[in-house]
Amino acid sequence: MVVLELKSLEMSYKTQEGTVRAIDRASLRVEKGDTVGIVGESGCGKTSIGLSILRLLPPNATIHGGQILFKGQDLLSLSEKDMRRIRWKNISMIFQAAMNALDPVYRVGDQLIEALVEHQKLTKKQASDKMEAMFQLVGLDPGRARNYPHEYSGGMKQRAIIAMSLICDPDIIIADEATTALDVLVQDRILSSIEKIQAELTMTMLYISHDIAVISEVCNKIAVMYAGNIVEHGDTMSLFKAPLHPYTQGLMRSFPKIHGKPERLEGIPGEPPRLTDSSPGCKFFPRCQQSLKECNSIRPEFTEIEENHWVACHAARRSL
Amino acid sequence: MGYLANRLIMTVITLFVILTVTFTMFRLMPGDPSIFFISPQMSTETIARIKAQFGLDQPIHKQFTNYLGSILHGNFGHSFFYKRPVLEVIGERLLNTIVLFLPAAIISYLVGVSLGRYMAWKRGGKSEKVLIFTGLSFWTFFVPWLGLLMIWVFSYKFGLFPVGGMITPDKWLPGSSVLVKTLDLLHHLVSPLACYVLTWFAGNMLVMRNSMLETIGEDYILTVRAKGLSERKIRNKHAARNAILPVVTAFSMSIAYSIGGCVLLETVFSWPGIGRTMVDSVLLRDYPLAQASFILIATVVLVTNLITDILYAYLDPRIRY
Amino acid sequence: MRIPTKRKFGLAHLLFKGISQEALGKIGIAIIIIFGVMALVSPFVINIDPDVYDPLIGVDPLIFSSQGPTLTHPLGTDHLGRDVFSQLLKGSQIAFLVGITVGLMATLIGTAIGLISGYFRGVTDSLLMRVTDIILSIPSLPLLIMILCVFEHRGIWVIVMVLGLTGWPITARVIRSQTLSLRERPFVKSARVSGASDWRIILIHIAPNVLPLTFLYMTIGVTYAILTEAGLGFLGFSDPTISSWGMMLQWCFSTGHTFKALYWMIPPGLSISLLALSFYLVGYSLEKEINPRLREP
Repeated sequence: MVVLELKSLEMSYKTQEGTVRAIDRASLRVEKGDTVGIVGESGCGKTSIGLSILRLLPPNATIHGGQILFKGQDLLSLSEKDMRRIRWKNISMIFQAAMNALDPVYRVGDQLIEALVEHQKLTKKQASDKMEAMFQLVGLDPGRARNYPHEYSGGMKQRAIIAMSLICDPDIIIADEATTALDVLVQDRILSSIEKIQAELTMTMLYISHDIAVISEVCNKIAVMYAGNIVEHGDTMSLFKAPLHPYTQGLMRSFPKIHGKPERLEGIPGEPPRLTDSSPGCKFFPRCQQSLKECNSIRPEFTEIEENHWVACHAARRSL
Repeated sequence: MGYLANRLIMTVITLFVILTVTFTMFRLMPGDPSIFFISPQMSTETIARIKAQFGLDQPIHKQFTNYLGSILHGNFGHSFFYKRPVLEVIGERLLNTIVLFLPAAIISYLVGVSLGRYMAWKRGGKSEKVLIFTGLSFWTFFVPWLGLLMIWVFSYKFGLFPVGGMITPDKWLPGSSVLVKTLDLLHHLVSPLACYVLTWFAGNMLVMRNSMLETIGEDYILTVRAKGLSERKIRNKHAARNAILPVVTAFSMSIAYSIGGCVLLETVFSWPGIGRTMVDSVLLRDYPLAQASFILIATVVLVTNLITDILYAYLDPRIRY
Repeated sequence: MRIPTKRKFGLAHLLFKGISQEALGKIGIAIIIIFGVMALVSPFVINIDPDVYDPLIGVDPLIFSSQGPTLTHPLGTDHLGRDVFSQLLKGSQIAFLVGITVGLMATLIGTAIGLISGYFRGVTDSLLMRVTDIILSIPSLPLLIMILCVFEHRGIWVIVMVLGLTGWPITARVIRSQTLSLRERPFVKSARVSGASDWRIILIHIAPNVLPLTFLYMTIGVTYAILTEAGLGFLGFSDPTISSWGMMLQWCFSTGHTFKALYWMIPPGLSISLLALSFYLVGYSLEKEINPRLREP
């Protein structure tokens, strides 16, 4: 069952420097039980996707194309009131670990309960019990629920945020850089917790990160994002073994392998484009080693090349 | 050390500084300082004793400790003009000031906070500019002039409110009911109180607006929005609750400034409080009374500051008390 | 090696941008200019006929009480027959003088203390902030009244000095806050690493970046001075040899002319409020420029 589907989503920000096309025809599909990773460089528009789905964009942003289908219903056509009912109850979010996501003046436990009672009618005891269950699920001592955010360490805060995202039993969770900015040991522990929860609860997740190592560990499907476009989308194994898009290939090559002969790391020459540029052809063209004549002038379509494997690339299509 | 203990110590130190400053100022004047404490009704022995205790024969530090000791016992000396102990004269006046000051403080605070919160949430538009301009105009309005204008319009022209004073003596004869007395007091209170609030609320309003605008950009507001809370809940429960902290601090700092306004208002409206007492006693050169008025005015500020500090500690869980 | 000084804002550029983009800022500047012109014109008006137009001693030989506006006296005369308009012009001079002097003093002291406190931290900071707190808690108008009570000489310079020496705490606090965060910025750290002395860092690297805030708080200082001096004047405690606006209101009020001579009661009060407001308006538009979160979306 398809829980979430993005169809050619387009979103722009109006800034003092001009219009920034943060999401430029992005499509992906998340089925029940999937953990789909969105991987890309900083500034490629990944976080915007998460905010767009929940319709939490700032006032200078507009979604002007495409659809966001949640269980078949286009979220973009909903009123704000209806959207509010869907927020957190059906789609929740794990915010970046670097963010100040918890309100400093309320106790952590109360903030979890707040999310719960916003969408369900429960007695105090029921809400409290559920909150404590969540705490235990993420590895937090329920006795700490009475503390304030400033009394928590970075790792604890992130666990609390994860617990908070789970508390309403949502259909899908969007995790945005959930472990970035934590030190590696804490990161590792939290990732293990996430994996454990995935196994126990069969969660459906959209996992956004720039860290391809984390994505490959946690996700069974990947969407590769470049300059606001989703350029390749398929299951993790295929993308690692046989990436089709030159950018994905570059990404995989710049990732050191533990097994096999030591290889020279290759980066991707050039720089990511400014999102204010709007050239007619493929955005990756300036850095692509396999470009063809038409890459500069015609946008490649996002097509399903193999089963459940999409690519937006002229060269990839030619080779198959 | 706990935050509140800290603030309490600072209050005591500030009071000490004020007393030292007052002591020094009046000692710099020529003459025998012990006359502050002498009343013509006293016996010759008492006068001699007081002269010995407070007079210039004593070394300066002894004079100072005697001075502190007497103040702490409530002995501010004898009013030159009223020929009575200063404490008797001042006690009632202090209460009159508080009747004006306290409601003004509370109303200004509440009005300022609600308007500021409203303005920040409803960004942009003509109404915001108008409110800001109006607020700034009142904040910088010359207090006595506003008082005079209000008296001119509401008392002189339309006779709605009394021209001044705190009570109408005939209504307070023995036998009048509490209701009549209260209504009379309120009737007199409206003009000066309105004037006071008008010139005080805007400072708070603008700080709250700025603070809200800062808070709205915070990450946790995004979280709360993502949780699906209504706009109103987000604004009141989370944004305003966080934004209020710097407002309490700013309000605390505005109290010392605003009590000057109280002194001016009491003069314009002939309100019998310690502000006006201070002004009158300076003009009459009634030094003991002037000195005591000043010390009490400063104390009112200090006590109010302490109360707002307690409020702040309650509101901010990051403060350990 | 010279570390390039990192300037986030050029002060003049900021001022210009801030004011030109904000209607309220333009109104503020306009009012300041009008009163500035009044202040400059004052001596010329007096020179028309000093015996009549001197604000304090010039008396119209034909008038013995407060009279309404006429051609020779556009705002009428006070109870002694002195020209109100001339007094108003002179008052403008005084307001600017007092306001700007105190503004400069308080801001300089406050900025210096804020910089030192914020940069050196530790015991110096603790001590300075304690002193700041104490001065903040002492009400200035009553204090001034006390001081003027004891020192019979009520010169305007005593008032200016006391205001300047007690008006710096708020500026100090804000500048200290800014300094605390600036000192952690990379450009300051790199200066320190390359061996720049503390004072050099403060003066050349940090100070220029707090300048916009300094200027903002100076506008507040000017307003504070104008209003407090006017308050003193109204109570009768200001310099009796100067016809400040506050004193004008005092004369009107104490001679019972409040409701009888509106041409006398209104101009000084209006002027005080307008000039005070204008500096605040300039400050408001400057603040919007400094802090982007306060701007319109």
